[in-house]
Amino acid sequence: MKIIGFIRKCLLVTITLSICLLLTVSCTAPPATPPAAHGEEPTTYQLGINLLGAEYEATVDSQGKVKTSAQATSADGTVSLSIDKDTIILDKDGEPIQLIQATIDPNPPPSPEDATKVGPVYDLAPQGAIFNPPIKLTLTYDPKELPEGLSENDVYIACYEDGKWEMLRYKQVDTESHRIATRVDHFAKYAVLIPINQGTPILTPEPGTTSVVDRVDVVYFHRTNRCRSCLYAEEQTRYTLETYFKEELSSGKLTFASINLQDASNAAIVKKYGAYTSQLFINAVTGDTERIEHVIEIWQLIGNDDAFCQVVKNKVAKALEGIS
Amino acid sequence: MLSALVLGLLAAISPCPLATNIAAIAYISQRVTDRRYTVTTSALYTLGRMLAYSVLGVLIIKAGLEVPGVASLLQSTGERALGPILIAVGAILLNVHRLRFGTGNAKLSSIGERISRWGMMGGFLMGILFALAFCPYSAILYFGVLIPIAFKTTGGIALPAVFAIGTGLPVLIFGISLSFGISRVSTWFNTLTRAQKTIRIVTSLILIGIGVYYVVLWVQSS
Repeated sequence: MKIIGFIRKCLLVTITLSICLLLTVSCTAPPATPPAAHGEEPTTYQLGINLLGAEYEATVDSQGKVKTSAQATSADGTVSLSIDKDTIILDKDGEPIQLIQATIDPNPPPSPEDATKVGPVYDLAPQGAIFNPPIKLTLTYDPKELPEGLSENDVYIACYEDGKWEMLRYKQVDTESHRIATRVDHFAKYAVLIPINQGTPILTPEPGTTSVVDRVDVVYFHRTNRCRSCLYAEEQTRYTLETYFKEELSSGKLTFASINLQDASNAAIVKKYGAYTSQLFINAVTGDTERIEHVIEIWQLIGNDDAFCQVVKNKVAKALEGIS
Repeated sequence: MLSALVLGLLAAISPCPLATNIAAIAYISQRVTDRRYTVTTSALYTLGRMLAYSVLGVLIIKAGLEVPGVASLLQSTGERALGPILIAVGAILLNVHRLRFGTGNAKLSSIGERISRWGMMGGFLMGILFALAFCPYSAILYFGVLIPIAFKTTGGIALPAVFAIGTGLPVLIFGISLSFGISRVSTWFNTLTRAQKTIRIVTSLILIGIGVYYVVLWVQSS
């Protein structure tokens, strides 16, 4: 019986020691696995992309996740789709899709009351297909088709669904190549429109590339001593931005900064954000106004790569679109 | 209410705050053979956390204490104070053990008794201290997530206490299960004294180890 007691004792000591050891290792070592290690699915298939007859393929796994980014443009250059790696494409029932295609609608719906169509209506099928994150849709327009006296900067892409047109607030207009890009999170009918009611310009036009917000700053604060969770949060945020917002980052529309709170030279920015510990902020800058959002949801998602990514991605995408 | 408890648990099991909880568990298990002691001390430890978080919560919610200032101050002080205090507690425990087992004289054991009574209060003080020594992760959960919820909810003033129970829960569970597990073997006196001796030494070493770890972190950063 003494032996049992002794074994118990030894066991207890071993457990306590190993917990301690584990703890010290986990506290000092940086995250062992890079956040990029998202689950690999062994089975993949080719997703067909057909834009007005031009055919492309993208490798997609059984969960509907795109394995390599894909760029597709129709032969005449009027429709382009840009799908990022890791985008999840599912139909309206949540099932993976075999083929996505764009055709010109032979029976286009009428223009809304306050706008007129510039060019054809594109039918993107299958209707109701969902993209997470949203994919980039680029359409061209013929400046000669614009009504007299209207500026190219006023064009926008609208979505036709359930008998009505809805304007997509996020847009990038390139007045030199006469292209307009937006992000779509689902398939329906899309067309380039321009408002005809001159009294109320919906978006403030600027030459070249325009959109609702000027710039989005993502700022991550930390202290000199970094804990595992804090390192994870920064790495995962950085990964999300570099994976899903590469273009915006390189164009300067989106910025990312990691700032040490305890460094005296950062006092001004720390004060501006009111930061006091490891914190993530998203700041949508429009002219002189700044709308700062403190992202706290991520802290309950430490270690949950996908959910963490999703929160950051959605918040940044909304900030870029100017939606509060 | 439940979310406050979950937040507390989240804070308790993340690496940095876990270090303080391990120290508490080590401290509690020093007199592992005394069932009442382990249960009372782990309860007092949790109470200490509740008191600290509640007072802080009241100060912020009712008295309008500025969060950024107080959060930065507590983190900085915590980083510095925690290491030396843990080392000191560990060293005291080592000495006490030598005194009691070295001479076995009546006067010295009465001192030992007194210190073991302080031991329970020590758990309480440890609770307060560890609660206030915010790590970045516990700081964001408390100041960034919990306090805003507490501001919005009626009766939000009780949330920090619930959060504290969450953060102390692992210690509480460990303390109670430890006492039950050990009490079953408590009939074999010899094993017990030997166990007590070993556990005491291990406890002190763990406390000193964690203390040194914090000091190293602090020295590295400054």
